[in-house]
Amino acid sequence: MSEFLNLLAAGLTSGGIYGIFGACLAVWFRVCNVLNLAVGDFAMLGAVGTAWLTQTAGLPFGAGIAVALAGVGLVAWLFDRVVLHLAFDRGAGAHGIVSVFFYTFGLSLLLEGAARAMFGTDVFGAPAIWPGPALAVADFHVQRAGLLVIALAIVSGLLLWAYLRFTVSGRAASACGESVLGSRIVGIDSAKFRRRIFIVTALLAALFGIVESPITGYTYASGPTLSLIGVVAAGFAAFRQPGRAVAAGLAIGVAEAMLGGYVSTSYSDVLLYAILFCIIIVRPEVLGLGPEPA
Amino acid sequence: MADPEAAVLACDGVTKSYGGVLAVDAVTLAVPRTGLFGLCGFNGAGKSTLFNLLAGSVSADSGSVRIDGRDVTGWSAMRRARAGVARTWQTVRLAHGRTAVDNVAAACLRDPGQWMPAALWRSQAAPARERAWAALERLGIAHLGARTVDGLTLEAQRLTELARAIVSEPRVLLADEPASGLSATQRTVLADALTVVSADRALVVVEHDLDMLTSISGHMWAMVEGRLAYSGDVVSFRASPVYAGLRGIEQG
Amino acid sequence: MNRPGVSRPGVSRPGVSRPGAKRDPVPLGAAAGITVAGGLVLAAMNGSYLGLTVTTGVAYAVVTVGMVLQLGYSRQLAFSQSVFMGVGAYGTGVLETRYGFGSLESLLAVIALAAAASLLIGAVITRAPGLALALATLLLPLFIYQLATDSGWLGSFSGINGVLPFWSGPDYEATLVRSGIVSVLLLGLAAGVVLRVMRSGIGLQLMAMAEDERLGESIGVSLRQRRLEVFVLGSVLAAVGGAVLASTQGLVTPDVLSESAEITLLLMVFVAGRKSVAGAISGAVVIEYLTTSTSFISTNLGIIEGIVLLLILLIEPDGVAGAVDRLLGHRTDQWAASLRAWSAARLQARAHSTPESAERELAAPGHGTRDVEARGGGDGGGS
Repeated sequence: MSEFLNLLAAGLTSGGIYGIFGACLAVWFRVCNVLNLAVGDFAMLGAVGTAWLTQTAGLPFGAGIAVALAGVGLVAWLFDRVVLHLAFDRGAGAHGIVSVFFYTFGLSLLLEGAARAMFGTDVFGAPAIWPGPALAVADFHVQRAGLLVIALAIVSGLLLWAYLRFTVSGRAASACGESVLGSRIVGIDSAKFRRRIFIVTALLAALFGIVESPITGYTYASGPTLSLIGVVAAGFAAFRQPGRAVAAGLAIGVAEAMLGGYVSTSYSDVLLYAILFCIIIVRPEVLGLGPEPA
Repeated sequence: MADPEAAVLACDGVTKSYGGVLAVDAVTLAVPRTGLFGLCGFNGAGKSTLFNLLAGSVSADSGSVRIDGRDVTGWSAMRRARAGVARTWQTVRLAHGRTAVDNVAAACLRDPGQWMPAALWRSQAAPARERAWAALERLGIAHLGARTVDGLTLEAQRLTELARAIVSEPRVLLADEPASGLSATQRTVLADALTVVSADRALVVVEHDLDMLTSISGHMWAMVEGRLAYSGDVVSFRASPVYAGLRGIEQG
Repeated sequence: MNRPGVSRPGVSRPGVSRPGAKRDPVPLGAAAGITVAGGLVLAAMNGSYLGLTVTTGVAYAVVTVGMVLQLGYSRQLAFSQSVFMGVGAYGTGVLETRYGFGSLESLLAVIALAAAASLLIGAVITRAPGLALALATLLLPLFIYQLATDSGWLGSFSGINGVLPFWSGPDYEATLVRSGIVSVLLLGLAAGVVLRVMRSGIGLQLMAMAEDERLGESIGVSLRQRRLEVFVLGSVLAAVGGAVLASTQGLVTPDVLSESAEITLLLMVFVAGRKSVAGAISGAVVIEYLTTSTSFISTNLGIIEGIVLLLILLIEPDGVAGAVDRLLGHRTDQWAASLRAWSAARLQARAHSTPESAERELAAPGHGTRDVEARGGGDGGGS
């Protein structure tokens, strides 16, 4: 029983990250019809950047976090200001299904390559924000960092929900996705939303990376897998519904932990991806992408 | 099971709502075999949704749709298209960077379900292009056939879409605001084209330009807030309160 | 604008078939041209390291030609080409080294295997919108790679050695040249098939579908059927490319189906021109040469790939081929117009100025016109 609870806790920790990433992706997709394939790389930058700044460059912990977050925010702002602005506001470049994936795909390649050049191939773990051994109640253990991740996930999830539900701009952001031209006529600036949500996503991802990396080490190559699971979580929510994305992310995280604990530690990932793959190809309706007569 | 006496396209009590908003409310109408028929109403009255329901791109919450008396309610848009229902949209949908004749030819393959391996030795492109040229000629734009559609005027693009809609010799054509964006003179040309097209099939036209619509239609339908508010001949339509209401807003 | 219903006699109609008109010569011509030109080039390289690199590039070109149809022309997003390349490469390796298959037999077998696998994968998912397939194939490389590297049967990380060349010769160089010629022949076939599909009636349907799926439905295109066919063809071509790769290098290693292999393929297609068969072929060969020849590129691969991809997307989404096409666009029409005028004059001279030939000359397309697309419908999307 305690093993189950331990696994559950671990699963909810990573699931919380997947879920929040999925939710951010879903909201952003709604606003501008682009999938953020670089979200995992922003998490990586936060984790590896902070670790490198504090451990190698010798900055104090707080400063390290601040600089890392500032750097991530700057990169996100730059990318939107230069690439996305040109692509979507000026109408340059490729459109359609290509633009959904490949702009952020290129960013992901770039970030990963840059991280490798700057930080090398080592495994990094940012210093723990809440240092100390795992908390224990009888046989039930949970890492302190894990609790922080879950707390962060809950807080950011609630804030996101409140934003979309109760603020005027949040509801407008949802409307953007339905019709860009229509939104513009009514006065909603989708370019502004796109930038804001992108930057917030990047910062949030970096924060998660910083908080979680004491448990799992991050390398320059850790980004894509995280991004991918975020995309899958969002996919199970038809890339539109953040609530469903969170649920999907949690489910994936828990499944990953359970597979690792009860079936096989080395094959847990393979099994997880294979299972997700099979679900999608056999029952694509689960994604909820829309009814389509054959 | 086709019933020769039945209307070519008919719907019976079709209803469609989107998240609680009733877009089409129990509409029943029958489209006769040939002729030009008008469908009018304010924006948001449900005209485009009704077209989507008839053409099959959207499935009805309730009610039925029939082609020649045969129940096609569960049929996909593709199946209905192959059964002879063609349509055009409010915004032009043509393949960018391709010629007008190619855009039209895509719609008139004799065997649209041909398997790809078969196409390796029997391509339907050439006969399809022949039919496409004929359709373009019928609408008077054959001289533009070899041009890329991006370089055509809006009027020419709309006529190309119309050519694409008729090239497969459909039994019924649903034209959604085919004249939108055109000038008065261009509308006359389009009106002529529509009349030519309706000679051997049923053509239902959605339009806001009531003068143009009533001048070419043989029968009028009007929708108000999802319901069919008027169905009858043009003369009585002009005398009806629905017409007055539509005109009032138009001039107001 | 003419009044509708009034036909204009004598309007020129490029691309209309007349009785006795020949088939579209482009696919076959391209296939033959590629085979002959490629064969000559490889023979000239005479088994050198450059020849090996070019042949490896040819292997990737078979895959990218399929991606032109899938990604460029039909706008079908699938990230499965490297995995199917792996199916072809590993299939060839296993069948030849463990079951004693010959080159031709293993080639046919991997084609069948790839077709079956892609049919299986695509059977249900092609009922759903394209994002579903994109999502599923994003997951594929993740677990397939680990399965391959963990499997002793597939040779783990070292892969499989001893793959047969397509056509053996008296020594290493001759074998390389001969196998290269077979590889180029396969590339020519691949290009011919893809061009044929793009230029056929089905190609017109794919054009409409790629533009707007609702449009495709409304003109009677079965979205599901076409999606499935495109996916299967793309996957089969990828497998053939994998077989060529294995036979050329004589071995199979797991990086053929890694995510970075998929990224390389995507870069090749985007940079060279995703809608152009010629572009895809040259792109594959050139990029293969570049990535293996300089260490600068291999160490900084990620950064370079990212920047190049973004630049291509923003500046010239149709790649180098698209840019070349645009730049040459006006020139080729002038050339085409003068060519037509010249051939019409030749015809007239030969026919001793009969009235029919004079009329034919006047009606010849491009006579005095400067329309960009005056080449007519037969060229759309093919190059």
